[in-house]
Amino acid sequence: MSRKLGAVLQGLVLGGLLTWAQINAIAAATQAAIFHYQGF
Amino acid sequence: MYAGAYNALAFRPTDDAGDERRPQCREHPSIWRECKGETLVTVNESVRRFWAGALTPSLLAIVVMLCVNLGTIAVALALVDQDFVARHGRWLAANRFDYDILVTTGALDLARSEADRPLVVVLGNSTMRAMFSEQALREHLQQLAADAPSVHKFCTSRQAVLDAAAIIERIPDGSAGVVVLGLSPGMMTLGARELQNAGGSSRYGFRSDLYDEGMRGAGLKVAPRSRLYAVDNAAFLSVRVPRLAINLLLGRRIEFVESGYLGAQPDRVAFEAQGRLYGHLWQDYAARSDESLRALDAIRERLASRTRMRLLLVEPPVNPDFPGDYPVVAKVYAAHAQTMRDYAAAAQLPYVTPAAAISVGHADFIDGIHLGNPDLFKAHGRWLAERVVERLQAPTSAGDLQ
Repeated sequence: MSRKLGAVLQGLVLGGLLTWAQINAIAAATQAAIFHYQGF
Repeated sequence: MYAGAYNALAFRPTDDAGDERRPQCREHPSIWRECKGETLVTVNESVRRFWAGALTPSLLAIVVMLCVNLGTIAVALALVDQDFVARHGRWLAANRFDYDILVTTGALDLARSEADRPLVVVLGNSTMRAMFSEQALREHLQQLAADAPSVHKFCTSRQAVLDAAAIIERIPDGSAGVVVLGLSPGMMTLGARELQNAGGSSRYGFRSDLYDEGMRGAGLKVAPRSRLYAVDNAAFLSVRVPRLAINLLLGRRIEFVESGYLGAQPDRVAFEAQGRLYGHLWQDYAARSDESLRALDAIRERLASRTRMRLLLVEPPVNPDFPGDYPVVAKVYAAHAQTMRDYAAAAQLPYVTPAAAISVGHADFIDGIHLGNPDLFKAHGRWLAERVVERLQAPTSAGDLQ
């Protein structure tokens, strides 16, 4: 049971990292940006 | 039951099969499971196995990883739509001046409303946002008009005419009222390519036919539309997710500031930086103002064909020392005023400026173009209310029809 819990934790962490990487890839591919005011 | 088992950890762990006849099984019936054949495990052993499971690749870990990833995508596709962003979009804000999110939520909220009340929608860039108080506009409209319109201040930093076109597409079909478009020279220098460099359609949480057409007209690629909000606005959502995570972790709900310039101290450094910026603005204005005017034509056509909204063009005030100190600024402003007068005359639209009615001085501005005086902020709100009422009460002109 402990080993399975550890495996589940690993899966959660990896799943989160994979999702985060996909989000960043979309932002990079679409040249998305939060606009920061530049002067006018 | 397992609490009892762990209390039995005073016993040495055993790797062999349990036996109900063993002394510890008789003395501690709560560990019946171990007694029936499973290995009694210490806390240390449990921890060791846990970390082994956590650090060793396994099929279970892969399955959980895929479930988390695909589940997140499924939830996003199912739940995140324009209603969701209209209600919860503030959690995506980066700071108190993140007007892109403020306008996104406001525009999406407007889009799902009924066209049963007159509207005043004000568009423009930061010079327009700094010009007038939304509250003063609203209150003065309530005094002047029996059926007071609802007011929506949709001014954003460095808004282009194409951005304004995207926003007015959110006005419900059949709506009546006034669209106020504050047009400063800087706004007219932003074409499709400049918008793409500043984030393109990822700035706002909605897609727009007019915006996409403007991009295609400039030879730029446009992401296809799928009718799924999360897919169509993947660029907007993807860049905002880190902000969402931070705001949720900190429990931070951003309270927006209407104008960051209000009450601030004049900034000579910013004044001079803008003067230098306008050094090449003249060429930009000459090169791109036509593109902005075409976008303005598209706005007029959209308003005439889908709504009963009337357009009112406004030129925001400028620091009188700005054209005074920088001849190129004077040149740009003079050209802009002429361009807009010609356009308004041809389109039979009113083009107004508060300069004749409200006197401004160098000390009222933070820099060359942003008003900072709180009293003038309110005065311009009242002035704008009077112009809106005039526009509402004027007879229908050819400019209102096309």
